[in-house]
Amino acid sequence: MISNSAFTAAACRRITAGTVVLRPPEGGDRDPIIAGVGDWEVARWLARVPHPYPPEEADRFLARIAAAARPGGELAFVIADAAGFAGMISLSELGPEPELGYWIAPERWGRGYATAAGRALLALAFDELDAVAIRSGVFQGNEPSLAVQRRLGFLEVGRTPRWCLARQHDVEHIDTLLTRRRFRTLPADGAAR
Amino acid sequence: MLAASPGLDDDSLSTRRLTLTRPSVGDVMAIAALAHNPTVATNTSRIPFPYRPGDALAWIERTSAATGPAAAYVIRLGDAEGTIIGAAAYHPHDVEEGVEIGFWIGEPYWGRGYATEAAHAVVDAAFGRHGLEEVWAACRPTNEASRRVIVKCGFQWIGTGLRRSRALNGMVSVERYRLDRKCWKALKSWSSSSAAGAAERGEGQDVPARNDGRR
Repeated sequence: MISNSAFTAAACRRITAGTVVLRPPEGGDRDPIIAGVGDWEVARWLARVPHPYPPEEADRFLARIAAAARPGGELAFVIADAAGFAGMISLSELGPEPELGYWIAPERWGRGYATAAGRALLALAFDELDAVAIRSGVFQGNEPSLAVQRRLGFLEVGRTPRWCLARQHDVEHIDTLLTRRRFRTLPADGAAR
Repeated sequence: MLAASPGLDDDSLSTRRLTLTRPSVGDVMAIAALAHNPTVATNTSRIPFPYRPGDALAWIERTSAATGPAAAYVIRLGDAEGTIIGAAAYHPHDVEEGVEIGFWIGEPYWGRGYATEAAHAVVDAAFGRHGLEEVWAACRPTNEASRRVIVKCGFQWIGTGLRRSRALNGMVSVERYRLDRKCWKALKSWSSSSAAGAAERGEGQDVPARNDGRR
C-alpha cells in the first residue's frame, strides 16, 4: 500500500513534459484559472465547474487543492509553457483507479499540451503511485479531448450520463480506461495503436 | 428452447428472455456497475470487492485470451444489444475433469429466474461444444438462490469443499455439484418430451397436465 507521504511528495514535483512543465498550483494562478474555466468553451466540457464561474471559487479551489494529495483525494498540476499558465491536469479519487481530468486555456489549444501533460502524469501514476488503471472520459461531442485520450492509449469502455454543472443537466459521458498493463505495451512515443 | 445457438451470431447464446454475448471493451462500465456489490462478490470466488472498471477490463482480456474448453459471456435482456444484467462462464475445473460453470446476476435483476435461464445456456454450450463428460458447479452453503439454480440445472450434490474468495480474502466453504453427460442428455430429452415440450409442438391432448406448482 502506498503511503500518504508519496502523494504529498508527488504533489510538490516539477515535471518536464516536452514543451510544457507540470508544476504545483500557486497563488498567482488564480487569475488565469478564473479566465480559463470561466470561458464557456472550457466549462461546458467539464463536469464540476459552475458557469458563470465565481472568482472566489478559484480561491477555494487553490486552498483545497494544496492539501488534497492523499488517498481518495486529488493531485493537481498547472500545465505551463514558456509564456506561463496554459491549463491544468489532475488525478482525482487517488487510489488503484484514479480519474484523469484536464483543461487547456483556449488560446493554447492545438499544440499537443494535453497529450504531453497526460503522458507525464500517467507515467507518474503508474510508476510511482501504484495505479492499476486510470479512468477518464469526455462529454459526448468533445472530439479533440477524445483524440487526446486515444493517443494516450485509453479505450472506450462505456457511456454513462453525468451531471454537467455548467450546463445544469445530464450529458452523455463517454467513459474511457487505460490499464497499467496496456500503458506499458504502448510504444515509447506513447502513440496508441 | 435453451439450446446454445452457435452460428447464429458468432458464438452468442440465446434463451427465451436473454442473449449471452462475449463481453467487449465497451461493456466494462456496465459490468463494473453491477459487479461492485459485496453480496455479489462474496458469493463468487473470483470477483473482488471493491470491483473497479479495471477489474472488468482485466476479466474481458483474460477470458478472451483463454484457450481450451472455456467461454465467458455477459447476460443481456432481450437481444444482443440489450441491457447487461450479469455474467456467466465456464472454464476448466481446477482439480476435476471437465469444466466448472459460474454465474452472477446484478442485484436489480434478482428473483426473476434469469440465472437459471443463463445457467442452462452455458451448461448446454459446455456439453454441446466440447464433448465433455462432466460439468461442475459450486456455491456457498448460505447461497440459497444459487443452489436452486444449480439444482434446477440437474446438478447432483457431491460434497463440500473449500474455495478461495477474493472478496473475502480467505477460504470459504462451498457445496460442490456435478452434472454428467448422460444425466444432461436424459434431462434434455425429458424436457422435450414433457407436457410443456409437447404443448410447444402443438400436442399435449393425451398427456397429464403439468404441475405448475399450484395446488
